[in-house]
Amino acid sequence: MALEFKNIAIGFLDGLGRFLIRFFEETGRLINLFITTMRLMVKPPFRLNLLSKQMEFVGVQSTFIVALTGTFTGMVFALQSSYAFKLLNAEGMIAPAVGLSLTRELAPVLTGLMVTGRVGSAMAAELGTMRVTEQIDALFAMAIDPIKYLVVPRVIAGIIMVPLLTILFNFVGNVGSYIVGVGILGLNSERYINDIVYMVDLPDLYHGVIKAGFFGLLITLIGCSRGFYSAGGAEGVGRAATQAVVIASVLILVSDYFLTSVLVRIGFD
Amino acid sequence: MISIRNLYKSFGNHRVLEDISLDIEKGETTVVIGQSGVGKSVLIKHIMGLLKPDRGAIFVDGDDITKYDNKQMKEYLQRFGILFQNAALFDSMSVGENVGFPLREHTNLSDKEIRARVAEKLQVVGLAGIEDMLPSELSGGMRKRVGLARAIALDPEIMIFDEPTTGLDPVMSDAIDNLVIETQERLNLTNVVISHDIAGTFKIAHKVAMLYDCRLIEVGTPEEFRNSPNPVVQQFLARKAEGPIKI
Amino acid sequence: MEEKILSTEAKVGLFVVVISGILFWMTFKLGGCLGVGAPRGYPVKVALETAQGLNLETPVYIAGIQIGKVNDIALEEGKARVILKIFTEYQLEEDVEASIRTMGFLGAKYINIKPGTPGAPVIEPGGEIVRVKIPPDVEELIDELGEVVQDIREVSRSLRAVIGGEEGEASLREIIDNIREASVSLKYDFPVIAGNIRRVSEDLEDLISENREGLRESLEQFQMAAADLQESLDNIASITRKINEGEGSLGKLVNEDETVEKLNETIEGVNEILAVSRRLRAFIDYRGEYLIEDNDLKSHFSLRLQPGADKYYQIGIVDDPQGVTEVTDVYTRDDGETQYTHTEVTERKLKFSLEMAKRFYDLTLRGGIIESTGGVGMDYSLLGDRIIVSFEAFDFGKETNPNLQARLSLEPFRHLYLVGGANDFIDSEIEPRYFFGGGIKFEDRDLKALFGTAGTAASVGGQ
Ligand SMILES: Nc1ncnc2c1ncn2[C@@H]1O[C@H](COP(=O)(O)OP(=O)(O)OP(=O)(O)O)[C@@H](O)[C@H]1O
Ligand SMILES: [Mg+2]
Repeated sequence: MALEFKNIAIGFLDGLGRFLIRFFEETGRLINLFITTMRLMVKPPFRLNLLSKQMEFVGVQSTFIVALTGTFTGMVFALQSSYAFKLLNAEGMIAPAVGLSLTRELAPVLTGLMVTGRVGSAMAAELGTMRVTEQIDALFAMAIDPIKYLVVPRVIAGIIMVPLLTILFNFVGNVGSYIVGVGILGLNSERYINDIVYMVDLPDLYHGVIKAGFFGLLITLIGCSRGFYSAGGAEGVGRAATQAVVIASVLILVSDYFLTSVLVRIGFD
Repeated sequence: MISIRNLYKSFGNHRVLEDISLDIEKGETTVVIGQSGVGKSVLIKHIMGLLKPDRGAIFVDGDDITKYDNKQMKEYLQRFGILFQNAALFDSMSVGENVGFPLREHTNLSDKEIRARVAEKLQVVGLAGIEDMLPSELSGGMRKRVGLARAIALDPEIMIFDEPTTGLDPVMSDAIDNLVIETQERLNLTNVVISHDIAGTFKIAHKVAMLYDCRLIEVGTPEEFRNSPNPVVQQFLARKAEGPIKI
Repeated sequence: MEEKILSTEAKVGLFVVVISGILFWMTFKLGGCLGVGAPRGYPVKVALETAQGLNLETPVYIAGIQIGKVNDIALEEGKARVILKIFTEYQLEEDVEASIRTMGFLGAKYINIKPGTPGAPVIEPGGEIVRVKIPPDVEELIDELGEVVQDIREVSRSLRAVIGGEEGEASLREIIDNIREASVSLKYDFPVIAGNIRRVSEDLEDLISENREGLRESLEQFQMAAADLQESLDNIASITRKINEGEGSLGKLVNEDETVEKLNETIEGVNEILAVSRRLRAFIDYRGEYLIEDNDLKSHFSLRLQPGADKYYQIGIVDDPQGVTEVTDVYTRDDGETQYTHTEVTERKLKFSLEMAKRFYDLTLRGGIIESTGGVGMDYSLLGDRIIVSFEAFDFGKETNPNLQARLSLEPFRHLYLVGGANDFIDSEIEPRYFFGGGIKFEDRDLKALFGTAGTAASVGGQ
């Protein structure tokens, strides 16, 4: 009985220890990859063709899905907030409420999540496959830095394209809210735009865009890291893709809080 | 030229290489044989710097490459042409782009010159005119040969072939063996070949090394190998399941 | 390989250019700091008591249309000097009135401009808006409400001390005895008084029936306003109920105790404010004054409408035995001789009063028409309006001094009060004429019942 308990306790501690070691290992790996990527980013040669390929994949090909989610987010948000604001006779607050939430929170976070689902998993799967079929080794053996060749263009594309997609999200989101506010709720068109312009300031826009840049880094870096260091064949590749989405989504939501508080403190409020 | 000294490697608790010492001479073809899973690929990955040994050193022209930094490693690797066991073709590129890849990355050749060189190398491996196909459209043997074409594209001074003839028909296998001998003699290359093909091994090898149970149990000329008293070597050469080798 | 209409580079380039265009557009739309695209405007100053809630970019609206924005805020002589940037295409007349308003109930502040007289001179760039109105904001109202409650509490405490004590009881008994005496002595006058009252009520009826339409309209409007407020209250109540019951995601979110408490506090505050604005109080007052010299009764009948704690309007009818004296001076030229006739016709006739009053703590100042002539008055209240000392000056048109009246009224019981005082008490030529009497005052709820009757009567009459 006592022995059994001891075994369970040891088993538990063992598992916990393993988990912690793995956690620190992964974190260290991610930070290491991040530093290496940043260092290699500024070193020639700059493979612009690879970069534009990744930018097309991350940005151009996400246009439709981001435009769609953005429009409907703006529309549904305007509709929902109109119920609350109508009760307080504050319809004038619908446009700014939607505008502010979009620019500061919804646009970067939802764009980040959409891109994670589309791009983060694809990157993990692609690099994972390259890892298990020794393509990454082949790159290395051909005297080409696989991080520079594979990870850097993806991360740069993320850092550039997610903010751009966020701007698109902002734009179509406000268009959606305008459609609902003016078209359906019958609010004054000029007033609606004025209200947005009045309440939403440039720092709000930058606030969202800066966050989006960070999310872009997070998504691509995690996707690449999961794929780059994946092991265990096809199953491992699948796992890498899933983990990339889960980890990146969670980190987006968690880091959003800290980013917001930091950004607010340094004046982007 | 390449001197492996007292190399140890294990993955976790799984010991793969133990106290390996091997000299690979310049202008010679060295063939490594051994059972599947014994660690042959692991050994050549150490030579390429893809794996770091737990202990031991690998001297190339007097330098220990296990101590190389990124830049030195890069320079070192440019002397190699490597064929991976599974060819490791880039899925996202066509056959032509795969073969031309080292040329584009490491030479200043124009697109036209690259195309010409790619066509020539594909011709050599018997696959002329498949530049626009994708790796996923090829058979296993074709992939291996495209990998071979990519490995020799830069005319490197050291070639490493991980099982170049596995998966090929006998005629094609012999053709590849001839290719290895021909390029080696023409350019005075240093070749490291991993092979399960005993006949081919004796045809191309200047030196044979046999890996068994984490260690090199026999290193010598093909002649010495044939006459080896070691029952393990004899069982392997005789291609028999019965004998001292545990399966 | 498949033919691409657009190369990868072209697609990426197009994407980046289009989104950068959107960004650029949004940047100067939101920032307006590039100068380009931002509407041009000219500066106009306005001095405000407080610039609380204003910031640079706060919009300026006329009739809901943005005509400018706040450009600068500075402190000047304890006031907030706000520089507005009025867009060039708009002009402001000199008599426009600026006020700070709130979008919705708890929303952001903006500056509202009430248009001036069309054709009036316009404010030049750099000029100033002189007329400023500051509506009480939510916080102030709540503060004031707190003060009022405090006052009431204090007053009732001291009143209890006065009336509750033995001394107070004794004086109260004395007062009642006096009233009894007075009523005994008034007994023989009663038929006269009754006649007067009847006449007053007849006149009142005439008055009401003449103005029935208007009265009904204002009543309806009043009821509509009350209904609107009630609806808002109901809505808020329904939200709170839903939230309390944890309905919807909001409910689940806020069902944390602290949040709920805060929300309830807010809603209470809102209720209080709504209650204040709903509380348009009305009083009907009848007062009879026995004029000792004339041995006659003077009746006052008045309706007081009180929209806020600090002001009221009062309409009154007065039946004065002294009547209205009409003075006619006639100068006639007859054969080069100037003849002068002075006629004074005094006629017993109803007089009217219409006064506006503003209250400062215990002092109420009022003015307007008093007994059919221009006049001013002041009341000083003690013990929470239970004792009122009043001075009135009216009838300035008399050849002699204006009529000055001093009056003291005591309200020992709700609705009932006693008065005593003197007319012409500083006129050196005439002896002061003393009077005393009593009155009855209806408030709020009692009055509502009366209004209801009037409304019904009006609608019946209208058919
Ligand atoms: N990255 C790795 N992680 C863990 N174990 C590995 C790794 N690479 C190889 N091994 C293990 O090392 C051993 C040797 O593998 P290796 O690929 O060298 O075999 P091989 O001799 O090339 O066999 P084959 O002839 O089938 O190619 C195997 O047991 C394998 O499980
Ligand atoms: Mg192998």
